[in-house]
Amino acid sequence: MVNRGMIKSRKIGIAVALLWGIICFLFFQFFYPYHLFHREQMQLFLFEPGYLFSYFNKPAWLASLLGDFLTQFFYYIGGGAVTITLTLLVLIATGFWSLKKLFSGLPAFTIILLIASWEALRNTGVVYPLSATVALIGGFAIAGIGLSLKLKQTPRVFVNLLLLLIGYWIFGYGAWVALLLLLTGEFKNHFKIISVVYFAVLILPFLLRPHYLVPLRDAFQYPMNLFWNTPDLHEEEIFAMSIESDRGNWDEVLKTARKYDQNDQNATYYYNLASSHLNQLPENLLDYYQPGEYGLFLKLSYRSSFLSILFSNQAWFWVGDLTMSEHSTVLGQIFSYNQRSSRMVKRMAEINLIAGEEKAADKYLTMLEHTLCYRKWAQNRRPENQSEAFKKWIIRKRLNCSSVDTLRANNDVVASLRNLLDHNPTNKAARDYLLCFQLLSKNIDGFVADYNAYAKPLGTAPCELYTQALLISLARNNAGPKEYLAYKLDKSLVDDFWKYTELYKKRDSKSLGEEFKSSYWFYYHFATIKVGEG
Amino acid sequence: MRLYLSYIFLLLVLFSCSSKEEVSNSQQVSSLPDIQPDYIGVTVPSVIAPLNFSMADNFELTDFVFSGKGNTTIHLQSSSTPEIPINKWKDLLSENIGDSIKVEVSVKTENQWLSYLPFFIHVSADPIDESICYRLIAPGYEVYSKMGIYQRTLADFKQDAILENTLVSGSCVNCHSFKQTDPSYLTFHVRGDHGATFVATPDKEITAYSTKTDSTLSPSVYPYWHPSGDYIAYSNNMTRQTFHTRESERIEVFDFKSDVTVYNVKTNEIITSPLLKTENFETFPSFSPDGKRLYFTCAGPKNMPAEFRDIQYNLCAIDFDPATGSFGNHIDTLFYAEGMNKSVTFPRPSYDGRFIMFTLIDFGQFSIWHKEADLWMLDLATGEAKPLDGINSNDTESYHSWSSNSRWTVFSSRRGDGLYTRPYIAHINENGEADKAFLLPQKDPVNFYKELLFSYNIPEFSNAPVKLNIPEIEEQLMQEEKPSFSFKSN
Repeated sequence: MVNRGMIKSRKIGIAVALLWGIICFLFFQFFYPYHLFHREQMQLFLFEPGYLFSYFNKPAWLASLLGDFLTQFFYYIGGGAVTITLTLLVLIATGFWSLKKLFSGLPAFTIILLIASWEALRNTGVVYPLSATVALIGGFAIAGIGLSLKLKQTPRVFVNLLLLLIGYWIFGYGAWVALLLLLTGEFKNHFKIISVVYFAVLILPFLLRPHYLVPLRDAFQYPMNLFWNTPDLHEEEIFAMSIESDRGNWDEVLKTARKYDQNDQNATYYYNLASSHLNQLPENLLDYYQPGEYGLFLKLSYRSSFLSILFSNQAWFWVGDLTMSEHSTVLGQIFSYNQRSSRMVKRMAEINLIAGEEKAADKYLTMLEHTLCYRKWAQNRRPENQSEAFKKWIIRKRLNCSSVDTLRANNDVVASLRNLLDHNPTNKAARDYLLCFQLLSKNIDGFVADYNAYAKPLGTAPCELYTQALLISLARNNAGPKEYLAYKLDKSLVDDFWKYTELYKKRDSKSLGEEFKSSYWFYYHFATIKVGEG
Repeated sequence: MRLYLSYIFLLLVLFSCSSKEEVSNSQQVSSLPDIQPDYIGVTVPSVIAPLNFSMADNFELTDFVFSGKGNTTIHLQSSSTPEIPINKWKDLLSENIGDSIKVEVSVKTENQWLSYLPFFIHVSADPIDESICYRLIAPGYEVYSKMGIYQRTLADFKQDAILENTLVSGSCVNCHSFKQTDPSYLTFHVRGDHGATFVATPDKEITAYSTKTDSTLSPSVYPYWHPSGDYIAYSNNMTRQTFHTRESERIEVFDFKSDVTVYNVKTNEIITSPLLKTENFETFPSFSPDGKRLYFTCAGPKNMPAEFRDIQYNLCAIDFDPATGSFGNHIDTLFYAEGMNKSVTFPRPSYDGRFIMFTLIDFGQFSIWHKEADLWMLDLATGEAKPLDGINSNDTESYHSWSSNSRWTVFSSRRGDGLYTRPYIAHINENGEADKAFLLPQKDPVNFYKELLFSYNIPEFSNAPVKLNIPEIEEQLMQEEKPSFSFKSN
């Protein structure tokens, strides 16, 4: 009867754990997939001895190694959700096995289910490493082994201490879980003073810290970097745009940006980038939240956010400024987990292939060839394996790269774009970015000068946005009919402009808002530029 | 059972002994092998770690034979990079000091062996310091993530971290300097919110200082120890970083202003001369080995950044009296680079007082990103300067330092991949001529350097292990108030 009860309880336990796993999988798969893709892109796991041995240089080498190894599988669609779910189920199984040695079934199961839920929430953190979950599993496993020892107290305590010392070396902060459980075991087993030797393990972080060169706090909690986290669905939307842009799905990026309509600099950055890729930048520009010119190029500074640094290379790469793109990519690289990002390494390979820097390109391609997920990608970009389409892509990109050398500051966007256009006046992406940048920063004189230098010679009629800006300039300068005609302006827009001017003079802001909210005139008069740092 | 195990062991031994394939019916090739790294004809010290290398192309099998005038021969076969046994390598080196090691390479392709012309590795009798120290840093500048200063033993592959910036988040460690390779005299900077300059001597515990004074342009950088250990020369630079629009040029750093100063370690005072604090741009100071001259580079004032291509630095010197801490009353120009339409950076006198090695570029002072940057040697006896052909390449050669006996130099070069600097070591003979340089050896150098995302920065020889009291450094860094340098005009 007892056995039947136990079997029934076990079956219920397994069913609850599986149900918990299904919920976990569904959440990560359908509500949080882009976070997981992003986490994979922020590391680069190499199957190369030198790289693998480097794990010994920091605490928790085994947890870090296993965690990073498993994180690779986040690359595959569904791979992240499956990997996290399975890892957490292993945590439940290991934790239950250890806790069962201290508590009866239901409390043990409840405790581990709560811990696993807490761990699942922490795994929603963008920089939370899976190695921290592995460290917990390791801690429970060591505790389970220690609690299973059938030894007399003194030898048991010393074997357990050895386990704890090894536990810290290979699982880092997981050892504290083991310490807690082993001490609980000692208390339940008539605590004797000899058990205080367990606390000797607490000396290890102090002793090893000079060797590992980490702050004391890190020495105690390695590889864990977060005590608590809750899902950030706003960030998930940004990652959706980021990942889809990396895949070249620009329609999807634009769709996502419009769907969520965030007042966020990074969202605007991707909205503008997608619009430009789809050849609609000036047409789409004012249909979306624009934080001044900061939604076109993400500013890099000491105060820039981690994500802005990571994303910033894409706009530069698109317009053809390889120096700035490479600079942003290197910064993205060094701010990623362990200063290795697969996405940044891919971008570095592309930049150097375009620049004709064969040795540098070879370096990055070789690294990628030593990975599980990017081997094929790298092999296909080797000069001897390149497809015709890829060769044409390189030629197209090279056309935009400047051969005219001058110096500019990091954030001197105008100088950079003008330089690109001086080299290749047909670079439409650079031209639109330059003109839109001038407009968003309300520099009408700069816009007109650049329009006259880079757009007017093409002889085509300006689009609606540029027409609206030109009309402001013409009106300000009391231009004559000849000057109006020189720009081939759409007459209906000229009529609208006078209508807008009348309403503006009457200070009829209601009508202005209703009829001209998406016009540049409205932006010019009413938009307040925010100085964003991303 | 024991008998069976013995048989198995014997079979394993026999198998391992006969595992090398015989190089038979080999066809002779009339060229040298294409190996990476390029160790053909290099000169090495007699204690250097094994020069592991591999063929640039893939072959079914490669056969390597290293031999010399003694009994030791190393015979290896591999389809990739073989690891030369370190003990046998040491024997081979010691048997051939002052002579050469012959290296024969054969490759097997489509079941046919091809044998290349043998090449030689020259083993110098000149000793070398036990290690080199360098900073490993990703090539990004405004912001920094992980970086550190490391020490690498030359006799093996051991690298130890001396200090990493992970110790204090948001910090940057740089500009480490020893007194003529002696790390008991040490200075380095930590930048960031808790930034400081650390100075230590055998008589003085390591101390964190704030080096900016009201009378200097900026905190002190580019340190160089006086041979007595009583002074450190610094420059104070108002610097800006900019970017070239052409991809191949990348980054340019220039000064709006710069001066040279000298710090008296004992009195905690900065001293200078009106001749060093002018409208001209003075930077990159270094002391002569007798301590009686201060070398530096100097350029006439320019409107920066508009005239960035026009600024060119000459190599200059001023007398210095270590007894009184006073300077001479005139400046000598030792190498007039402007006359060649060139610019000098990093003048480094040899410790025997014979030569000054410097970097020559087209303009400016940020030689590390100048592809045309080459190393030159100035003979102080004749005043003649010439490029070091043995060690220059088509890419950047920039920072360099001397071994304690002035017979070796370690320098950074971007020749490997054009993007990351790597340390190369070259032998310098008594005439100031350089033998062919070799890349710092690694167990698997091709993969090691290809997969390293950090540049080697400021390589310096060290004649002893660098020992830092990490908890002490951390504690001093975290202090809000740090002792400051004081300024004393001359």
